[in-house]
This record gives sequence, structure tokens and C-alpha cells, in this order.
Amino acid sequence: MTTQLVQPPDVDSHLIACRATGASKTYGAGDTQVRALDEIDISFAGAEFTSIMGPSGSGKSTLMHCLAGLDRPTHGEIWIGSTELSSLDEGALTTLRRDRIGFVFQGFNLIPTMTARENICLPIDLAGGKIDSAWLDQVVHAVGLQDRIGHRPTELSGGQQQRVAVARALVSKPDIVFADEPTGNLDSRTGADILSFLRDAVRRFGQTIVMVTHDPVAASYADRVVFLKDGKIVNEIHDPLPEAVRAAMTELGA
Amino acid sequence: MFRHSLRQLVANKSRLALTSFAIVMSVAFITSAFILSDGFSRSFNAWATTRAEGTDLLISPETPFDTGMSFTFNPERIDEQVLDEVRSLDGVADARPVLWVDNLVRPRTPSGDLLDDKFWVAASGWVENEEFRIIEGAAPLVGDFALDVGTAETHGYIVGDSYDVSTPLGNRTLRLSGLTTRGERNDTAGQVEMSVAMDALHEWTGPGYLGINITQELDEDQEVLKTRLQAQIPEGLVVETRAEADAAITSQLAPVVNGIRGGFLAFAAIAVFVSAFLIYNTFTVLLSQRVQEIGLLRAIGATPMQIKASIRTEAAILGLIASALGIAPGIGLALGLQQLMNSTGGLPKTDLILAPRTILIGLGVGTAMTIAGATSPARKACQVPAIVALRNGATEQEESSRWRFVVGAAVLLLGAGGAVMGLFAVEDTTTTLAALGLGAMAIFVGVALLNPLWMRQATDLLGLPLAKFAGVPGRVARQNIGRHPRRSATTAASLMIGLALVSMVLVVGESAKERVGGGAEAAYLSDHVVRSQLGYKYPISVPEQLEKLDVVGDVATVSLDTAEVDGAVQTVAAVDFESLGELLDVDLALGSGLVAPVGEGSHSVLVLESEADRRDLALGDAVSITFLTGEQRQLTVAGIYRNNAVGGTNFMVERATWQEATGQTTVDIIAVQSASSVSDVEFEAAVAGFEAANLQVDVQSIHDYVETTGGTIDMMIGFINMLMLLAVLISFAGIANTLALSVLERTKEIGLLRAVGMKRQQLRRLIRYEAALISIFGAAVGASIGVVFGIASVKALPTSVADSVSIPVGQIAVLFVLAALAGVVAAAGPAWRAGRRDVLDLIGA
Repeated sequence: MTTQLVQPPDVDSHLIACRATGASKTYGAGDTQVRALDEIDISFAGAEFTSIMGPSGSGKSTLMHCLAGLDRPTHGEIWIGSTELSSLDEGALTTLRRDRIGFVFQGFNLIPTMTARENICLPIDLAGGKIDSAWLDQVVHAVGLQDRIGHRPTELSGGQQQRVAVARALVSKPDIVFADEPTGNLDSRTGADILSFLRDAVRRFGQTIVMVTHDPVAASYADRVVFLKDGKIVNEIHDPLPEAVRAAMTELGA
Repeated sequence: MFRHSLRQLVANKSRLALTSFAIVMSVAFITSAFILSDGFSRSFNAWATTRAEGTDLLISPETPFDTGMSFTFNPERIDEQVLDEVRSLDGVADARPVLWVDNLVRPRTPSGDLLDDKFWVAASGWVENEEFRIIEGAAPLVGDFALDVGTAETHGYIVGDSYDVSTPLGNRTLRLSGLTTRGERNDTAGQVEMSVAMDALHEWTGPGYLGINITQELDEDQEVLKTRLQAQIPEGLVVETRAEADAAITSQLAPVVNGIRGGFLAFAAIAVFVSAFLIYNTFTVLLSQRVQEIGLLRAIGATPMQIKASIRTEAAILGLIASALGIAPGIGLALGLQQLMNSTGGLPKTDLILAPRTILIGLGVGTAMTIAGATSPARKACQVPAIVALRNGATEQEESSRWRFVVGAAVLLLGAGGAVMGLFAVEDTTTTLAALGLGAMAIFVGVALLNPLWMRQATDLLGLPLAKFAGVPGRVARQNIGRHPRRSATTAASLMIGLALVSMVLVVGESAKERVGGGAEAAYLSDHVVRSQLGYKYPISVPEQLEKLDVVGDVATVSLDTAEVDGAVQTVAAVDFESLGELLDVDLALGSGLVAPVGEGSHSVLVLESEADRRDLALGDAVSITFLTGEQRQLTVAGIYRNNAVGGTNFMVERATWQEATGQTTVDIIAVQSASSVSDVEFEAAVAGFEAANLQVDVQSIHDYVETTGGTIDMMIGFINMLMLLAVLISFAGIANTLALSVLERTKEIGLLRAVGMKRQQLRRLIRYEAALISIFGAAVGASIGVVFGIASVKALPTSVADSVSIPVGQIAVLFVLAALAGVVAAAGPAWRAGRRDVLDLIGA
């Protein structure tokens, strides 16, 4: 990738947004013990777009859940900025997710009874915060939803729904956005739109994004692809092209 | 398919637990109704058979007319010498006198109060027989008394100790000589049975007997003896065989027993009705969750009939198990109710009998109502086409709202029509009640059908403050109600019914209290009154002695008696007409009532205006009155009065007329005016001394008297509403059930909310808000219907019970708030469980 990085002045690209050190996650005990994450060390720099890839059962979803404070590693530390997560109780974790993390899921991203606008503002509303309407406008324009903002999810196409989800993830200016197969339910063209938005968010707003995917094309939108197998990081590609990602996956036996 | 039904039940056991609770409650109600009425019936029959053990024939004074009331106290006495004559007659082996007096003769308890067991205190002249005998101590002589062993044990009386006893001649100190038992089990039918020597009773109440019980020689035909005796005894006395007397008592008791059973069954019907809503709701949701599975069954070849049968089997098993579980709480409920009613004076304490019939009815009704509740959901479920199995996420089909509107409005109108007819067009009480009950049910069903059509708008409005001030949880909760308006509405419906009934009782009760209280206020111009809530009749000596007290200025009395007036049995008040307008406030519309001279062959009567209208009576018209003694008098209408406050009677006669015709002197009401120069403190002190010497007399200020009267009504309202609230409790189980189900349905959505930062407390608040909205909606509709029902009932009730509507706004408001809060409490379980679930579980589910 040769695109010139345009950094907004207030984002320091060298600041580490998120970091795991020695993170392990085991299920069960004794003979039946399963090691989903095995002593993972990884960090995500600010304003960086990272894809996590790996075959089924490689631990990529577990890693994301642990990084996002949805799950806790059995050993090791997870840092969001300067906060270490294992010291936080459930309430503090929830607050951290609300204020400092954005989420985009594969499906069922939106509350059906709320309009697109209400869905986007949900994390801020939950926090009882005030909406920065200039910023909201900017985000809504960026994802091209200015005409659909008053509609409910059932009145939106699948692609539009995912754009609402992306806008929601961005609007609270989180430290980091986690996207779990955000294009899994979309056709390739609509999916490409969403991925472009995500990449734009990194370029234009300096947003840090971590995306789990099994699609090499999707992964190639990122600045970096990290490959997992059996709970370990086995490979890493910077400025990936789809072919290189596909080859790396084949090598993993996926 | 049977095994499939069984597995479904096991798989949904937590869902079904709350539904079972509703069935258990309903069956408990039904069971307790039968247990109580059976016990009462048995106890009373046992009392009826033991009361005259060894008696073959009974002699009693003839009643000039049928009073239609149980155990009317006939003032006519049999001369004592008749007993000796009867004893000497051929064919009579033995003859025993019968004499008793109710309520007036009471001992102090060991703790010093006057024995005030609410039900009935009867003091009899002591005559031993095989079934009524002394089991401890000795028979009472003059100066003694005996008590039934049950009462003695309850209050801790000790044989040999002396106690103050109120008598018509004032207090006596009597020695407890022994304890009696009626039969093996002391079947007193709940009354306090006190025995004194016959001579003592004669001294207190005058000579003569109320009856004579005869044991015949063995070798004569009973009917032949009866005919012969009837010819030999003085005129005015009748001979009955034992069988005839028992049949008369049984037929008088039957309505009482049926009334008790009917009353409790009415509450059971309410519980069943409310539960049916809950069962319907549960099955609708359970089946809509299973729609794909049903589609699959259909796809692999199950017929709609098989699906329906499977669901019915599920309902039947659930109903049977839950009904069986309801029997034991039914016994507990019966025990508790009896305790409560006994302490409030409604019912005697009797044995509780669990007949096999009771169990069968309980199981039958419980199972049938479960199957009935599941019928409509089952019918809809079996119409699911096979293709649904292949589709994803089929949702509950909401039927067209026009259809719903038409049916709902039709049922509502039908119900309203039935209720109005019942209230205003039907004369017969049973038909009125039946029409009212069915009408009310139809109204409830109609409103329940219509509710989904406007519930969304209503809860949107109710939820406005939540959406404004309670943040995201408030907003989401408000929107969630509208997502399944039908389910939310059915949930609210059960609460609606409960609250409607409770508020109706409150309105009727308040209006009745107003009437009675206001009536009491209006009836007396005196500042004090003596009137027993239990209907004591005071000997004339009581007002005479009161009048002699220095602190008392003036006294007026009212005696109430049963008489036949122009062919209709009435309660008639005997008063001194001079006292009207002095101490007793009677608003004369026409005539003075005072002008008619009380002389030979000329007696005057005052008639209540509405009664005069009904009978087309005017001043100067003649009225014929027959007293219980058989004495008949021609009366002239000398006045027409507007209020029937004094004693609540339609007719008033001169005291002199009544005394002369009946030989009676007892009084029911004594209006007491303090002397003008006397302070309250002096008055109280002097009266307290009088009360101590006359235990049964309680001189109350008008204010206290009104309070006591109102208190009795309050107690009744409280009792009825306590039973109603059990139905409300069932509806809260419904709320908990609905919320648990909707939380289950929205698992992913909740997971999303939690992932993007909704805190546990916020989520729990969301669920509680939903419950509050459903409850408030149900409570608001229910309270409104209840007030309308209440107003209609007050209009339909006789004016002697309630004449103007009075709505206890405060109480209904409190009820309303409590309902909303209780809804929140009902949501606690589902809210807690939802909050506890792991976020990953939720989003992964």
C-alpha cells in the first residue's frame, strides 16, 4: 500500500492504543484443557488499522473479546491506553467499553426499536453524555447516512445497517474500534464500501481499528495483518495485498 | 407424541413454574371453599342432631307467620304448669323444658373482658341429656354457670372460680361449676354455650319455657301420639315430630351453607378467570418460540390434530400436577380464612373437612382451566404451515386489528348489556348476581381484546416521563411495550381484573360506610348512644337506670321486632313518638305523627316515604300489623318520614302499642343525652361506673359509634379485598412470566446493549420500567372499570345500604401506586437474571 498517511495533528501514531502481554486463555482443566490463547504479546499503535486472521479455532475471536474487555484472559495483561483491564470489575469494564471502545459486529448490530440516529448515539446516551453534533454530522456524512438518519433498522438495507454500526462505533471517539467480521453478511460490493469507511476513519480521523476476518480481501484493507494459529501469533504482514494474505492463509492450512 | 409433550414440559419448567402458581392458587381457592362449607355444614348438622338428643316430639308456641329467618326468638312462653301436664299424659315417657336467651347473658373472661366471641352466645336453662353433658365439675345450680369445654379452653376459664356475669338484672357473680360437651366432639356449631340453672334463668327473664322436648313411650306410633298430644295441650302451642323439626332447621341452614360455599366459589371463579389469562399468555409465547419446531413436525408428517393433541396433553399434565399441588395450600387457606372470619365474627369455628369430592372438583377444574387456557394458542399453533420450519425467525402472528376491534367491541357491549340488565331489570337476587358476574366477565374479556389496539399509544404517553428523564433504559422500555402489544395487553389484563374488583369493592364499601355512618350521624340528636353491633336486646331496666343518673339529661329508646305488616314480614321499630325530633331525628314529610291519639282500638304508625309510595299509603290509611305473639292490630298512618335512619326500618309504631301487644319490654337502641350542665369528663366518669355494673352496656359518643359502625364495614371490605388481592397476586406472577419470556426473546439485543456499554443496573432498570409500564396501564384501566362498576353497583343497591356514590380516591390512588411498585417487584427476578448473564453468552446466543 502506498497511500500517503494524513495524520490529524492531535493523534500521536506512536502512542500504543491497545496492548496484550503474555495473554493466555484456557478452558477446562487436565486432559481436556483447551488453550485458546497461548502467551500472546501484541500491541496496536494509534491510528493503525489491523486485521486479525486465522483458521477456525485459531483463537482470533477470543483474542478480540479479551482485548475488548468482553472476556478476561486466564493469565497476562490487557491494556487499553494506560488502563490495565484485569484490575477492573464488571461495572468499570462496562464503562470502559462504553466510553473508550467501539464495536461493529457481524450481524444484529442495531436495536430494532431505535432509529439510526438513536442507535448511533446509544453509547453516549448510555453514558448520559452530550452529543457533539458537529462531530455526529461529520461521521454521518462520512458513512453517507445523512438521508436515512431517522429510519429504523427494518427500513434500512444490510449495508446501511452496517454503516450505522460503524458510525456508532466512531461517534464516541473511542480509543479503539473492534470489528468482528463486519462484512460477513454482506455482498462483496457493499462489503467493500464498509471496509473503505473503516479505512477512511483511520486515515481521516486517526481512529485505531482492529478487525477480525477470515476474508483475505477484507483483511487487505488494513495496514497490517496478524495471523493466529492454535492461540499463537504465527505471522504478520504490513501493507498487505489480497494475494499475499491468501498465500499466508494457505500456508497456515486454512 | 405423549413423550414429546412430557419433554416439552420438562424443558420449559422454569417458564411453567409461574403458570403453575396461578393454577395452584385457583385450586387452593376452590378446595378451601368446599372444605369450609363442608365443615360448617357438618358441624351445624351435628349440633342440630345433638341439640335435642332423646327427643321424639317437640312442643313450641305457634308462630303466626313464617319469618323466613333462622331461629327467630319467639317471645311467647309456655306456662310452666304445661310441662307438668305434658309429663302426666299417656304415651309420654319424659318431658324436658327448653329455655335459652342469646347474647345478653355473658361472663367476664379470666382476663377481665366481657366474653365477646363474635358469633353467638346462648345461655340455656340446664337440662342434661345423653349428648349434652358435664365432662368436668358439676351441673350448675342457682349461683353457678357452666360453659362448653371449647370456650373454656380458649379463654382459660377454671372450674370452681367465680366470674362476673352480665344478666338482664345487672351483673351477678357466678361460680363456674363445670364444663359441658355436646356429643363426643363438642359440636356447638361455633356458638358459646353457657348453661345456668333453670330457676336462675327464670329469675332473669321471666317465667315460662320456649319449648318442651318429649320422649315417648316405645310402643306407640309417633304420628298417633302427635295427633293426640296436639288435642290435649293448650291452644297456641304446636307439636312437631323430631323429623319435622330437624327438616325445618336443615332447610333454614341450607341457604347459609350454600351462601358460604357460593361466596368462596365466587372468589375461586375470579382466581380461575385471572389464571386463564396467564395460562393463555404462557402457552402463546411458548408455542411462538417453538414455531419452527412445530413447522418441522408438520414437515415430517404430523397432522394438525396431532400437534393440537400434543399441546393439549402438555396442558393436561401441567394442569393435573399443579392442581394436585394446590390441594395442600387449599387446606392452609381454609384454616387461615376460618381463623380470620372467626375473629371478625363472620363464621363460627368448625372442623375442616376434606371430602374426596373436594379433591376431585379441585383437580377437575384446575386441569380443565389449563386445557381451556391452552386451547386458542394450540389452535393457532397447529395452523403453522410446514414451510415455517425452513424459514428463519418466524415471529408471532398478530391478527388483524379490525377483527379484534369488532369482536372486542361486541363482547364488551354484550357484557355491559348483561350487567345493566342484571342491575336494573331483574328482581330476583340470584339472577341479578349471575347476570352481573357474567356481564362483568364479558366486559373484562371485551376490554382485554380491545386493549392491544390502544395500549401502545397509552404506554407511549405513560412512558413519556421515562423517555425524557430515565435515559436509554427508559426509552427502550417504553418502546418495548409496543413491540408485542397483544402480549403486553394480556399481561396487563389479569392485573386489570384484579384491580377492577378491588376498586369496585372499595367504592361500594365507602358508599355503604358513608350511608351507615351518615345515617347514624343523622339518626341521633343525642350526644351518646347505646347500640350493640351484635344485636343485644337490653332489658328496659337499662334505659330506666341510665335516665336516673344525674349526668344524664334525657333518654329515648328504640325496640326492633319482626312483624307482618299487610302480609309482608318487616322489621318494625317501636319508639315513643314524643322522642322523635327530640333525641331521635326523623324527618317527617307529612303529618306530625303526634296528633293521632293513642287510645282504645286506635294506634298510629309512621311509614317511610319510599315504602309508602310502593304500597300507595297516604295519611289516614289503615295498616294491619301482626306481631310474633299472634296479636294483630289495626294501625292508622299518622305520618310519613323521609329518612329511615333510626333502626333502618320502614315502619315505626308507638312503644305502648308494641308493649301492649307483645308483652315485650327489651330495647335495641338507647339514645342518651347528657345533662346540660355536665362536662364530658363528669359524664364519662359517671357512665363508666354504670358500665362496670352492667357489663353488656357500652355508652358511646355518637362520634365513637359512627367509627365503630364504619369499622365493621372496613373490616368486611378488608376481608373481601384480601381475597381479591390473591387474584392480583396471580396477575403479578403473570407479569414476571411475560418479562422473563421477553427477556429470553431479546437475548441478542440485550447482549448488544451490554457490549456497547449498558451497565447491569441500567439493564435491570430497563426491565423494571417495562414492568412498571405494564402494571400502570393494567392498574389504570382496572381502577377505571372498577370505579364504573362500583358506581353502577351503588345505584343498583337498596338505598338502605348505600344511597349516594362516594369514591375513596386516596385508597384507590394508594392501590394504584402499590400495583405499579408490585409490578416492579415482580420484575425483580427476570431483571436480576438478565443482568447476571455474561455478555459473551448474550451476543453469542
